[in-house]
Amino acid sequence: MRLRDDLILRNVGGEHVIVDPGQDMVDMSKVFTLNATAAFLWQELHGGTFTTERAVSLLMERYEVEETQAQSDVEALLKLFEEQDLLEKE
Amino acid sequence: MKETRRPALKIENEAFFEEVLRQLQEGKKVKIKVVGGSMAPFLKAGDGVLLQAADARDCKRGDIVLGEYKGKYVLHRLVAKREQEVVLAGDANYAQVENLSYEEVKAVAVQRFRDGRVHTLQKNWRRAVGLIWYKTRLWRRVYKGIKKK
Repeated sequence: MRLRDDLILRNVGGEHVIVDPGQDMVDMSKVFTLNATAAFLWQELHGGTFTTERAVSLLMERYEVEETQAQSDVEALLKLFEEQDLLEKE
Repeated sequence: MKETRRPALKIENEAFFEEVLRQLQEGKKVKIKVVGGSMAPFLKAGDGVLLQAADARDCKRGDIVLGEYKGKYVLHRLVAKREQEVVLAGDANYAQVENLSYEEVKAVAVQRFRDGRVHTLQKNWRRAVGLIWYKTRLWRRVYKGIKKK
């Protein structure tokens, strides 16, 4: 799977915000914010194809977390991304 | 993700609008949510507004514009154009006006989104109503004072 290539992660006022540039209209009335962990994953995974396993390893490399915890966190996050239309459609 | 825990995120005015301006400068139109009641009843908190980059020179009196005033961004009605400056006023404000240079006006509101409907803003009748609303503000204030008693 891929994160949508057209979405940009920006730091706005100290918050990690995903901006959807759109064609000629940018909707900033509905933006997504990420906490530091999700922003880290986004930065690592954006621009390439990845698997859930890759995301889990990234988390485990960076944080002290059990694999089962990392697995469920990643699954929850990717599910949210999918529901909010942040993944590239295949 | 914070987005699931909080229904809406409020970012500092300046930081948010700097991003808005960046997008406008790239030639994009930007949709934002109205926060605050300074433009009631024409713009209510929760309405959506579509902004387009604009010079104050291209705007007409009665247009709703985004201006930078003392470090903060305001979305108010353009009520007067003078040689070196323009004057903005919030529709709900009785006394306060903002004096800005032409360059401090950054964008104009072209559409309003409310209850699932889209309204085109830069129309002469809308400008006229807005300006009449502004001109009658002192009467409206008096009326409100009488009503309270």
